Amino acid sequence: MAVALTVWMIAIVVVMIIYAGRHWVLTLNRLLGHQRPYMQDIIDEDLPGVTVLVPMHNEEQVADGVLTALLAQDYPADRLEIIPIDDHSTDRTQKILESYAVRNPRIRPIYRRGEGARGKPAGLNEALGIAGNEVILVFDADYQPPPDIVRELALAFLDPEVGAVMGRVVPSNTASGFLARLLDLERSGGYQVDQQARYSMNLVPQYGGTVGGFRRSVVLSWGGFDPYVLAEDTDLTFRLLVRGWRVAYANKVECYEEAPQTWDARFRQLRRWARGHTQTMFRHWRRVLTSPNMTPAQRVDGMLLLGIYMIPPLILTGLGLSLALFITGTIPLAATLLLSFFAVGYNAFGNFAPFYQVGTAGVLDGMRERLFLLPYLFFMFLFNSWAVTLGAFDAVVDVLGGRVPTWEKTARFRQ
Amino acid sequence: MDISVDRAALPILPHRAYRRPRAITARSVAASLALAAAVEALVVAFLGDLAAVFTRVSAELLPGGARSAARPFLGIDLRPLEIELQPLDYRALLVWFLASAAAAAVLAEVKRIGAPARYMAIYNLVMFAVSATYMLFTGELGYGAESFSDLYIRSAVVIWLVIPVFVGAISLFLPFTILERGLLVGASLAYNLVFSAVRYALFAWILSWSGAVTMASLYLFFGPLLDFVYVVGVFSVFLVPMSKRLGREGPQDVWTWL
Repeated sequence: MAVALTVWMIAIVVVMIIYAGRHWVLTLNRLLGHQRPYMQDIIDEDLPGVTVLVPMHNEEQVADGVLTALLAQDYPADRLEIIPIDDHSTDRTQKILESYAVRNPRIRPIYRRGEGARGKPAGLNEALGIAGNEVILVFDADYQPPPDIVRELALAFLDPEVGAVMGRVVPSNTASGFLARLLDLERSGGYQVDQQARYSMNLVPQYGGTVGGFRRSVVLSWGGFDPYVLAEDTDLTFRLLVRGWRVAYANKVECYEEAPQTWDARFRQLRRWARGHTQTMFRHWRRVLTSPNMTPAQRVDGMLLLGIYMIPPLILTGLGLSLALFITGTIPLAATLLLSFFAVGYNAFGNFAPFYQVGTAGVLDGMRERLFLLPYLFFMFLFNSWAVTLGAFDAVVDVLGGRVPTWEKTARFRQ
Repeated sequence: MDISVDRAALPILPHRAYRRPRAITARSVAASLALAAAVEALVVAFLGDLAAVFTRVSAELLPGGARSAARPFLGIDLRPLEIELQPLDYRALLVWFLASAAAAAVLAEVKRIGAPARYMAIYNLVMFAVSATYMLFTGELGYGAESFSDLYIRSAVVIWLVIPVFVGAISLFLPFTILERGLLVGASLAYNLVFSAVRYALFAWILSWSGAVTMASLYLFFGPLLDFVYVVGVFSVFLVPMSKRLGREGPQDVWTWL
């Protein structure tokens, strides 16, 4: 029993070292490697027609903001169509959309009511059915798109190999409190370093479901989004990659979002992400390993990306095992020099890797006093681990028990 | 036909999306490595003295603190603190178990306390409850007072050895000045020495009235894991002035693009 526990513990540590190594490699690439730019300085009069989809469910607090911003886009009016998808709203969302549609023929809302699958993927499918353009961009309702963002994102599709594009998400409500500031740090690390390095290294940059887009015909070619997948963005990323399409990442195309302001909202968001992502892992891992359209490095990075939400459950298992091994005195830690070095070394280099990534991103972004918050990210560790573990467990139950997940929207806070 | 491109001449706007620090050169990396190696050599050379001062300070801080006989570790003699464990009978263990479990259950519902703080408190309460349960059935934990003291001081010594290498490595590819690099390594090490000595005495004092039931929590949560948090803290303290300095200087002097 003791041997089995020890082997399991070592296996957990090995997996965590691999992920820590990935953080180090990506961060060092961002600091030292050549950066691959997004489509830069392309002046093209033949801009593609674009349909912007905005999924909405009870968005009366934010609907006005996103529609106003989209109408102010620096893009030929005759090539831009906006489809807000009102998914069973019970507040004033429909009235707001109607008032905009009356004044602006470019806005063609869909009002989803009655029976049928609910949630973002189902709404996107319905909108794809009536969209008039090949290039589809998606913004969540709480986003505040700057005037050039449609042009910038649409440029990616001038490259015939690009199947999807992803821009950078920046929280706008950092003044609202501690949580939003911490999430701003996390986002900075995730985009400025992680996504950009994966793009530069030709690995697997991820389409994130908002501030991004895809080709309509490609998604329709496999029958649209699966309405019962909670992470349709990750699902799309891997469907594209295994078929030989590329995902472009636009680090300079920034869009403000509203980050969760309460721990409860953040917990629910994380749990949903973990559930959806883990569903996708079960669905795609074999295809990623065997796809002839992916390079070996992309396969490795793809597998690491697919498995990323399994790390917190592993960490919690490791914490439990540490406790068991400690109170039973199974491993003579005090007597084993090598193990002491290993534990301390891992604790230092392994655990520090994400903080190094976030700190580096903060410096590249020009953050100042906000970087003092870096050590506080540690205090989210157990919180994040628990939320993600529950989400991953949900996904396992979904897959094994055939349970159908239901979509849950992140709470909004804008007044 | 030559189609090579001078990357530096590309008309890329100075956007933060693709910038990298210009100051990281082979020379800065070599200087940083030399600095870390020098500090590491000093730590190795004076490891025995450091350990002696460390345990002496802890013993002074602990009321009635005493050090045990010398035990060899990594070529030096360590004299761990002698820790008196409060004996716990089954009633005391039952109280620990029930109180910890009840407190964890209550905390799980008290939404007014920030969730991360609640989760950390619950984690520690669970460790108390599990330890108390184990001791109820077996009478003692796998680690006694002596082995715990050994474990703590050996971990501390290993951390002193790792810190110069680790902090040197993390400063290697960021645009710190040589002074900042030196201060970063020195401050991390100095803080660790002082903090670990005070914490050692505090742990011994806590164990003297709580018994072994808090031992797992002290080592697994408030031990080396906390060392890592303050290393991140010191790192952030040095990142801020560096980032401000980069912001003050001309972008073309500080950053390179692509």
